[in-house]
Amino acid sequence: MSAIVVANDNIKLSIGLWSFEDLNAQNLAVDMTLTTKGLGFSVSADSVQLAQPIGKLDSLKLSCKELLIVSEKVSCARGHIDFHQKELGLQKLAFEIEAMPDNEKYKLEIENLNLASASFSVTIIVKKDKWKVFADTPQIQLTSLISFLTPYMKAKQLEVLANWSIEGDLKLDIDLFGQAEQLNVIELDLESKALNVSDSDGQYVSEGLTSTLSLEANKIEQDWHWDIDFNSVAGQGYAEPIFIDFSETPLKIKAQGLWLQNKAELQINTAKLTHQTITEVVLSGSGSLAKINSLTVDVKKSDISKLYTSWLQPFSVGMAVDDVELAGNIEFYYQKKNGNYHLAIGLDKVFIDDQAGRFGIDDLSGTVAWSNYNKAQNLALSWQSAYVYAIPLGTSNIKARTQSSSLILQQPWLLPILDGALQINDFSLHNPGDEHLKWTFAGELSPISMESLSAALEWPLMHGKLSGVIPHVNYAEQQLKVDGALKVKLFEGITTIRDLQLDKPFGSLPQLQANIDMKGLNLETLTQTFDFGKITGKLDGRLTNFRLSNWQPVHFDAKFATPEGDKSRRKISQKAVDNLSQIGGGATGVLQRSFLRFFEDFSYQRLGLSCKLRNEICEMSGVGEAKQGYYIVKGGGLPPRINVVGYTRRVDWSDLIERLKAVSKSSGPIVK
Amino acid sequence: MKFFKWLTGSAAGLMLVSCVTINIYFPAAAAEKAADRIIEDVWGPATSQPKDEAVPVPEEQSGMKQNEAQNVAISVLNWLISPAAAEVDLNISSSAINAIQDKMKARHGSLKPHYISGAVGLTENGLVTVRDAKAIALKDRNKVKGLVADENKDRNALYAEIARANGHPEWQADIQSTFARRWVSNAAAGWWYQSGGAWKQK
Repeated sequence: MSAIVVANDNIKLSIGLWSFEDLNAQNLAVDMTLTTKGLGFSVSADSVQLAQPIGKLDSLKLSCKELLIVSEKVSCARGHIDFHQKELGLQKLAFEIEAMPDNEKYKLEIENLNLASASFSVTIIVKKDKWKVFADTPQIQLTSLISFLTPYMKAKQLEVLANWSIEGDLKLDIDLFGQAEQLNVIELDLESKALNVSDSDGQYVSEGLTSTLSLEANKIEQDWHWDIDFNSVAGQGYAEPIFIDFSETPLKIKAQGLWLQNKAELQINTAKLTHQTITEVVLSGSGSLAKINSLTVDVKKSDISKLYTSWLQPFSVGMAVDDVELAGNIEFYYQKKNGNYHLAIGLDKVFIDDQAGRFGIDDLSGTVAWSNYNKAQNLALSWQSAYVYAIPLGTSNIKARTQSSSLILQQPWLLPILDGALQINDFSLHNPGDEHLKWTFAGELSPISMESLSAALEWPLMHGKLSGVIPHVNYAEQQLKVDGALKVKLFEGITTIRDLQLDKPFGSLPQLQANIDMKGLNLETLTQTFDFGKITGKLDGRLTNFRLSNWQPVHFDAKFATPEGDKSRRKISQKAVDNLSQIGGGATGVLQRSFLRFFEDFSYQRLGLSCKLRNEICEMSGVGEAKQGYYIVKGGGLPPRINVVGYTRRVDWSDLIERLKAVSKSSGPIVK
Repeated sequence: MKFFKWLTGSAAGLMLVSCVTINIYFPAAAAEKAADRIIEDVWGPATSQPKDEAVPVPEEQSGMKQNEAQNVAISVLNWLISPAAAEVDLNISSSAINAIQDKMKARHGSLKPHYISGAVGLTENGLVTVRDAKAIALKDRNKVKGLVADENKDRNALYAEIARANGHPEWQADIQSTFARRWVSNAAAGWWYQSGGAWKQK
């Protein structure tokens, strides 16, 4: 059924069903008007069936107010088309078209294309088999874009997408150039606003991210040459474990490289990452998602303290260096190729101070070089001063050669400790920087005066020297073991420390174990040092299974006594007797109340005390059993003689310490 | 008297005599009490729940069951011989334990909001872990990870130290599993804990 109406300059045409090749139209109405400039026409149809992928259009209205046909050019400057389509929904588009069919040149401009709740404008230019598409949108909501794209995505892509929550706004500007079925150039400008992205584990997160990204990619033969420029302006980002607040420290990335399509390999020719006020990194490398083939990282000289807070501390959680104060500059170079890597760290006047006060170093400068293959490099470090716990270390420098994950000293390393020094001759180091850190050395301890050591450790002032040959010190699995014996000349006798072992020196509870032997200590010097009251004679001691936890004694078997067959003069003063009986749990001032107060000192045959420390309780004993107690001092020799008997067998360790402190503070008995 | 003569003369008697060295066994009940004392101190009284609240015991704790069986044996022996011979107390006061306990107590103030939000949960082996990173503000995530690492370092050191302080380093695992149950039992309502590999909320 069809009807044609002709009136003046107007032709109306109605066709009930019109079919032509792939095109089917129902209730087609065509209205043509002749204007001064050309031909105006409008077409409407209830439905039009087009070839796929467009398919069926409903309620189609197409109008062109001015259709010009000049020589070989057909154009329509102000056209409108309205329709409804299943996927595209209701569309009311404005378009402009120019066609030169003889030259195979076409240009189509579309405005108001409604996709994903955003209004796109698209320009398509076709010249023979070459084409260009320019599309942009002022603002698009990512949630709408994703729901719009969902029907077109593959199951695998949907699976990935399901693990992410994405919201925010984008401004898009895409230009695509191609030839026939081939896409050759992509130019993309993307502006994000208030972008919130998160994966389901919260490992990669952005909050309120405002950024711009421009990408230019050209296909040359089989490979894409790309160029990226990324700028973040506001918001926060987290990629485990790195957190960046872009408002405070904006991030800029400028990179260019290749995407080798056949090998599925990404090649970064150069990437410059500028983290404002913090650091600048230049990267290059190549690899696929599964494997990095090569990588070069060059961190330009940066403030170590800022770099540490943003980029280093997050990786050091749980290690000894996870809370340190830093100053100075650092630069870093790392190169990796086929599993081989080498690195160099340049340090310039670096200051490190552990917040828990366990270690520190000042004015550290030099180069740390390391490689896991046969590339040999020099390591040279020097520092002004350092400390480990309360022990200060002096100016020192290390010169070494590193190669294949190992370090060899080039000259003995002299480490000044207080007024002495530790000379390290053989030193080897493995796996620095991880928990499997291992090192060993052999060395010599040149005399450290006990005066300086006792002052550093806030002990009572002691006299003597600490020295020894250290055949082998070994640190592995957070355990430091000293083979051989450390000898200390102390109180004119010799103290030997054996089986010294330190577990988790920088852990929660450092554990120190040792067996200590003391031979021939001069009691006179000892009692003077501790202001105990004068005792003369010799003293031997033995501390076995000695254990300090968190530097506090928690376990030992201690025994101090006059050596068998001691030939020296053995005298004990009133004050010392009083103090000893106090330690033994007796009353003080007993002597002063008896006639014995007239004697200044007494002869003794043997004296001694032992303490078995377990569970904070010291089980005490002396040099022999007495009635209901034990002898701390057994009288002998020329009169006057004296016996001191202890009655308390079990003493709280804390009480004992209090007693000892009280003794060293007391001014001694007043002899009337 | 005849009964005792028979007892000491018989094989059963010999076994009992040799069993007097029983205090080398892990004192499970004492350990629970010790754990509760420490937990109450670290978490504060506000957190603690009625002590007898049933806590699901993970199935793989056969070692503990053995200990419980031994405890039964101990109580029988206690009744037969003298209680003092088998009774073992667990010592938890040493300067090292106190030091670590103080550190954990100081840290608890920072960790508590994350137990409540469910960001941090109690694991089956007596440690803590970040359970739901998304419940932590972005800028605080690394800080909380640090807190968790420090807490675990201290907890491991605490278990080891209690075992050592009591002269039985080999008890560390038993102490740790005792603590694991007691942390969960003492946890406040709403906190998350691991049970049989799955997360549950109190």
